[in-house]
Amino acid sequence: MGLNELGAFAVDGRVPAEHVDARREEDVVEAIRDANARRVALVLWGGGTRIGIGDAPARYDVALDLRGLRGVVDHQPGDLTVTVRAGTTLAELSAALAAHRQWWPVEAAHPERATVGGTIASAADGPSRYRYLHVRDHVIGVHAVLGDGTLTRAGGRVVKNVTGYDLSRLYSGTFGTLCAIVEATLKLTPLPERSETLIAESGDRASAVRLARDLVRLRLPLDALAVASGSPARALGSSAAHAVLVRLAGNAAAVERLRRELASRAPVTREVDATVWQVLADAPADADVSLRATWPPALAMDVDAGDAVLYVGLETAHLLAPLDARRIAELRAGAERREGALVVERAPSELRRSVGTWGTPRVPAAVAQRLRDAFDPNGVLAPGRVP
Amino acid sequence: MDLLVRLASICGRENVLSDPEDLLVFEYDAGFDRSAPSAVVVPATADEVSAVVRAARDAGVPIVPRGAGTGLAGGTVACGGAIVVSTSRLRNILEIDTVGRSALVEPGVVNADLGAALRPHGLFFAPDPSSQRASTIGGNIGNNAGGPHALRYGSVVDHVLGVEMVLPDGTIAAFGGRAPDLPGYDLVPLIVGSEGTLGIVTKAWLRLLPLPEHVHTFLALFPDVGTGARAASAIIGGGIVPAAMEMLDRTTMRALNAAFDAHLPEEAGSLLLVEVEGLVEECRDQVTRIETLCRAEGAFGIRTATTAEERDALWKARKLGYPALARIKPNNYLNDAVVPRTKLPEVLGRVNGIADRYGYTIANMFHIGDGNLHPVLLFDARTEPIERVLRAAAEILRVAVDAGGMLSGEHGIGVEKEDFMTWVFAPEDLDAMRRARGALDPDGVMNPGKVLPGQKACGDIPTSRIKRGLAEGMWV
Repeated sequence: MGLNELGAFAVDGRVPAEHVDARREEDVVEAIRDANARRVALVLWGGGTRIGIGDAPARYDVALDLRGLRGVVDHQPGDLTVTVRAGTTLAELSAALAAHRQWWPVEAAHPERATVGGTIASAADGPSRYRYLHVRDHVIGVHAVLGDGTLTRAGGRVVKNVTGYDLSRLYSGTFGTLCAIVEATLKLTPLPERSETLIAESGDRASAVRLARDLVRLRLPLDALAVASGSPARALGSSAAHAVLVRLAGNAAAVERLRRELASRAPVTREVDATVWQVLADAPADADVSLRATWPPALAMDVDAGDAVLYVGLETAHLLAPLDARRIAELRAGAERREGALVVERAPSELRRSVGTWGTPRVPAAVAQRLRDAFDPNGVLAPGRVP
Repeated sequence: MDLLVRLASICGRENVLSDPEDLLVFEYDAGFDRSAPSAVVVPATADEVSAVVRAARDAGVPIVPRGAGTGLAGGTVACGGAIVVSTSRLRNILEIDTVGRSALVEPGVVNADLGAALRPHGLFFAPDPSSQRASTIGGNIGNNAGGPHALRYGSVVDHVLGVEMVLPDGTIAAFGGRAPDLPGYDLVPLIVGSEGTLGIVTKAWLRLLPLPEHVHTFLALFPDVGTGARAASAIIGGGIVPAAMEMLDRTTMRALNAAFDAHLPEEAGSLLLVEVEGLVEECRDQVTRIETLCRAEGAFGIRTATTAEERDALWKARKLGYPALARIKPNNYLNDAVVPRTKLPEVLGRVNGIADRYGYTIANMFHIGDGNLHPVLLFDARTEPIERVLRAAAEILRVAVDAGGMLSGEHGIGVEKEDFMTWVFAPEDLDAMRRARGALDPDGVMNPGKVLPGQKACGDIPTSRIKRGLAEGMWV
């Protein structure tokens, strides 16, 4: 592969010297063993939709591309489980499951590129989080190649399982630093009979947020809920600067009832196309500056920071305006004071270096280091990416 | 300084037990493995837990955390001279956040007590293990407990946002917290279900859910287990994931009739109890579809309930099942295994075949919706050797494993099944678990001998020795 092509695998401006196109689990084992033998550092690649999240790797020699590990290994519709190779994209997975009216309830940015493995490893999420919680809760087993090149299995193919330590869930959110996930068995959900998306537009942010909060308080089983402000609102076709989006799902009678209840209590009546949710999921992945703030309860929503996607009820805010280092530091301090966090998911290198990606990690440094030493003893997997 | 003296100086003399007769009740949990601790200490604060851990560590004595002792896998049985650290004085609900829908609790809070405290707020903590009237949140976390409603809501791991835990070196550390997705590795899902082998949880942030507006319970009888199991498969396959779906077999129903005049018809070979929750419109529709699917498999005696009293009546058979079985034989071995749901009819047939071969009465009362089997072997420990029971139990596990299943759906591994881990995991898979464990407890002082095979700490327990032989002998 020439320098130009390698450039496509740059992370934070750092271009790797090599690219390995893995097609089978054994290729991954071999590449990681080889990296250990040569003491070179790897970055694992899926679709690259979240590759920039994390501190820049301290060393980066080889891009280990897992997209060639592709396809459904085994789908058991009656068990609501599917086993897929890690490089399968979310779009391919959805297509394979739709015929059985099932889905893996994880909506993330750019499903035509995002891989199952990358989605798990980077704990990606989106609108589905409101109802279906964390991606790891829908992973029941994995094949993973540890940092020393050992191929291991964790979990199983059953939906309820306490046979030993739950390593499948531990690996979610480790951003390719402890292991390479090469295959995953997923817990599926039936597709709802009907789904409907409603929008309420608003000229000011405070009233949009207030409306969304009122909807949470109704305790109706909503399928998804978000507030889009500024550019994401415009991108989904809102004529006002702020839009509240609600998704209703269930059988026809339930959706009908939810729509009635919402109409009687709030100005949420206009139906829009379901594709708006993908626009929302994509927005944080496409912005030049993208901050993910979480803090309980609700305060995240009150920060007026311009372009944003707010998941009210999850208390997660994606702030997309070009804030400067001082403002980011201020917001982060506020978040951490309230037991929350602010992660700089995307920002120009210089800005991110000055504020750091993660803020204060919520795991004792010694424990994190021992975990890393145990799973990746020679530090070959994206060293420095995660605290 | 003598360890007992030091423990008494930390927690007060009345909170340190070391007389043999006091230790007797700490020899066992709800399973069959027994071993007495060298002492029991009952700290009242996280700082006391920390001081206790440091003291034990200085004395070179291992530590076993213990909640209510309702576990079934021997997870709280103390081996190798370990002391038990009981959480029974750490029982405060510290905060209920109704806006953020979370609660901060101490580990000794009883699951059902938390439920009662949340109900006025219209909220609930979803995991409902059958032991919930006695079992504690700390124990629920340690075992990643399930329960009937795990079908819809998942096990405890889905509902813990964060924990404060005393590490094996005595440090008090936080993992996760009130908000989800804090930066850095999230060890919460590793800690949940670690059976006290990584530290002692001293506080937990729990996720709460709003109570559903409607709960609809459905009961149907079937000619046999096969037809009931096929109906259960058809429900899941038809795109309905109920909140709970339980099955009782003929033996259990007969026991209920004999013990409590349950009036369950003699011709019934299985009973399916299904509960759906949510909007009333959705529930009604689901129950109608469930009824159609059940009738297609020959269901009869169908009853539904929508009020709390009616629902309690339908659940009564399920809840009284174990007491009823206890009247047939004084002892029962409650097995726990999980298989892919579609394999259930075949697996149940083979499990019953094993019981027949051994001549045991077997009862099945279990979480059919998620493939979580609980075959109960009834026996009399005064006259029947435990070795035979353990052998039959091992054969049942083997059947589950051969069907692509796992060793436990909700009870855990403890000292009951650690030797069988080699049946489902290769040495390198187990080594990965050891690596994770080592990151938190590098010296193996927390609950040694549990979960992972090949440890010496619990080797002297007689039942353990028997099971080791079975695990090795049946390994194909």
